[in-house]
Formats: sequence, C-alpha cells, structure tokens
Amino acid sequence: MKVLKIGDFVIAILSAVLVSLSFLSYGNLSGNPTVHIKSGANEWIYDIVHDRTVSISGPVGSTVIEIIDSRVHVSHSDCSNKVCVAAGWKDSVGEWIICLPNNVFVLIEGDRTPTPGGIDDTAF
Amino acid sequence: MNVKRADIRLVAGLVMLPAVLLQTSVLFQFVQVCYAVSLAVYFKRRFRLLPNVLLLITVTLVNVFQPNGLHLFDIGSLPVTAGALLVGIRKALTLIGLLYLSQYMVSAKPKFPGALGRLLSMQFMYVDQIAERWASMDKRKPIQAIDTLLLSFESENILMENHDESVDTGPIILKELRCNIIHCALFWILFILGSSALADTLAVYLY
Amino acid sequence: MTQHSNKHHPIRIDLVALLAAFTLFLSTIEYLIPKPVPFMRIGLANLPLMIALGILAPKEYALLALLKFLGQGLVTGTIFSYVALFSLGSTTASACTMYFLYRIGKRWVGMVGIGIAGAMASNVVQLALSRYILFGPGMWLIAPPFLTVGFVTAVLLGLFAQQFVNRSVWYKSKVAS
Repeated sequence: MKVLKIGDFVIAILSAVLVSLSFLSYGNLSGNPTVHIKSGANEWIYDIVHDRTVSISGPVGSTVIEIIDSRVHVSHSDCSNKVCVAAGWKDSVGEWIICLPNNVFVLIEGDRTPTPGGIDDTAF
Repeated sequence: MNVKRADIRLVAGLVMLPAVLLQTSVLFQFVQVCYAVSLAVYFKRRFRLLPNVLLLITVTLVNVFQPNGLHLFDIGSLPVTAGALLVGIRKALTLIGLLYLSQYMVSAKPKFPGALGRLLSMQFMYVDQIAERWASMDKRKPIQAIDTLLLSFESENILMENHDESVDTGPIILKELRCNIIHCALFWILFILGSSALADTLAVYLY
Repeated sequence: MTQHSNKHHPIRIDLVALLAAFTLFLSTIEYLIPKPVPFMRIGLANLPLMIALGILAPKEYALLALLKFLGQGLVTGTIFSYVALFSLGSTTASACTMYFLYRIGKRWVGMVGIGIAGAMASNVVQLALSRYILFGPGMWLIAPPFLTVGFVTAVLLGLFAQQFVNRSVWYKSKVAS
C-alpha cells in the first residue's frame, strides 16, 4: 500500500504556504498608528483603534483627549485660549495637537495611515 | 438524597469562578490566585512554579505589543507601557487562577452522572490497563507495539467493578459545606475589595 | 472499504472507550516528553482519532472526541478553566475537519493530508481563541512558530498513522468487521 496519495501533497503544500504566509505578520507588527501624549517628563501611548478618553493634568488644569473611531481630538481643556480644542480631529500619522498653556502635546505616530481594523481583520 | 463531597466542591468552585474572572484589581487577583493555588495544593494537586512564571512572562510580553498608557521604557524600538503590562499580567493571572480553581474542583474526583459517567470510568479503567501492558512491551517497533497492545484487548472484556460506591457521611458533608462556604465568601470579599476604592488607591501610581 | 452506514447499529461502547483511553494514555506520554517551549505540542493524542476514522460510525466518532476532551480535562484538572475552552475548540475543529475530509476524499487523501488539515484547523482555532483570551494583537508574534511546529509534527504523526493503518492487524480486523 502506498504511504502518500496525491491529496496529501496538495494539502501539505497548501498548508505550508499558509504557514509561510503567517510569517508576513512580522513585517506588520508595528500595526496600528499610536497616539502619543506628552506632558512634562511623562508620555502615554495608546492604540488609535481603541476608543478611550484620557485626562491629563498640567500646570493650568486638565486636558481631556478623546480617541474615537481611529481619530483623536482634545474635547476639553482648562486653558484660556482653547486653541487645542479648536484644532479639531486628527487621524493621520504625523498630525499633532498642542496645548501650550497646559504643556500637553498630542502626536499620531506610526508607519502608515490607519486602515480600518489594522492587521486584525485582514487575516483569518 | 445522596449528596457527595465532590459535588459540593464542584458547585463551590463554580461560585468562586466569576469572582476571579470579573476581578478588576491585579493586586487582589494575585491574592485570589494564591488562594486557589493553596486550595489545589492542599488537596494534593501538583503545583510547579516555573511553568506558571513562564506563562506569566510570555503572556505579559505578548500583550506589550498593544501600547496602552504610561510609557515606562523601551525594549529595542518597542515602547513598554504600564497599561499593557497590567493587561498582560491580568490575563495571565486569570488563566492561572482558573487553572488551579479547576484543579480544586476536581480534587474530590467528581463523577459524571448516567451513561457518560460509566463510559468515563470505563475509559479510565482502560487507561490503567494500557499503561500496565505498555510498560512490559518491546517499544523499539512502535507500530507493532501499539498493534499488539490493541489486539490484547480483543479477547477479553474489561470487568467493571464499582469500587467507589462509598457514601459520604453526615459530618464529612457538613465540614465540606462549611469550608466551601468560607472559601466562596473569601473569594467574593477579595472581588469586592478589588472593585472598591481601596484597590484604586493602591493602583493609582501605576496609571 | 468500510461499511458502517447502518443507522441502527448499536454504539460499540468498548471500542470507543478503548480508543478514548488510548488518547488519554498518549497525552500522558506527551506530557512526559520534555519540550523546549511551553506552548509546543506534538498532538500524539490525535493518533487514535486518525486511526478511528476508518473504524467508527459518526456517532461513535463524536463520542470518542467528547471522551478525549472530558478525559483529558478531568485527568489534568483543567476542565473548568480556559484551557478546557482551548481543548474543546481544537478537538472539535480537528475531529470535524478530519472526519469530513476522510468521508469526502479518502480515495485521494491519506493520513498525512488528513492529519495536516486537522492540525491546521485545531491550531487556527487555538490561535483565534488566544487572540481574544490571552494575547491580544500580539498573537501574531506567536502564530508563525506555533503553526510551523504544528505543521511539522502533523506531517510526522500523519506518516506514522498511515504506516499503522497499512500494517496493523488490529486495524484490519476492525475495518473488516
């Protein structure tokens, strides 16, 4: 009796290809762009695809930063001129918002513009 | 009605389970995990530190890839954030906690009811037989060895002996009940403490 | 080759229990084999599930898979933890994949192909579960080595299973009956 049949080779090759393809994920690991929030010596980093609200306290009070639907903006600030709030939503790598009075700096970092879902949804 | 010690332990474990699963504080979850491990070890289940530490480290490191919160330091170009570390530790602790709680739950050897239970006891009986016969076999040719092993069960029927039909007495049941009520209460107290302001105060410096 | 389409055929309890015991025995052996990485698995316990493909009727096969899951869970004490979820998911995935593949394509596919397909199904399910339960997106870091090891061990196990099916006297007697 034969040990291997044609289907064994087909399945083996298909699976080997799939396994090799999974190594592509290593090139993608930096994944989603990240929102960096700097205040004084501290820095906070968040994944842009996860919605959240972060409150940072600075010299004049608090700065509230919202990350929603892969975009970021300053929703509230205790400073007087509110330039940061007026700056509106940012969603691309390299874009930033700054609040000078409260010493808060928000920057989107990453390799590329966000694609919906990132690597999570593209495989499987 | 015939209540078994094993059943009490099983139900108690099910009551404790969500207290670990829903825990929000790492600190109190760690206490719960230690508690679960002690319970398992007390009832003669094995505990080895190294695999658990490896699990904790692996899960934590992998979770670092999703940055979340205060930037602590970098590994190469990868920023390590406090929130990501915490998420990783939480997931690993939950896993370890449930693992040992589960060990505790089966420590009194619960029996499945009915036909499935009988089938399982039959399976375990065969395992003992296989292990016994396998030990005395020439394993240099594994295919023949397995073949001989399986063939050796052809001619005979395994006798099902009902050796464990002991009924737990009243005092044993009462003691088991008392102990498990205390365990459940403590697990849920740890959960409540973890959700309270106390845990926030303790953890606040991490955020 | 095999005839077990008779729906009124009673379930062969002894046979199923024996094969289930064999899975359990093999997982104990696997447990004793030292492994370089904690998450690495060989999947020895899948051997009886592969051998059983040509022997058991659908109901019996499902029962075997259930006993494998319950038996392992009870012996290792993991039955009420996440680990049971992984084990249930992977056993179901590989058992279904292997059974359907065998039923549909046994003329073209041998144990190697069936074993690889089962292992891939099982590993993908485990990775998907670990993505949500344990690792988050960092799962992609674990996936390539995990799938590679799974693939290699599946090939080896498949070769062994095929040799067994070709040569075993016990197997022939079961298929004939």
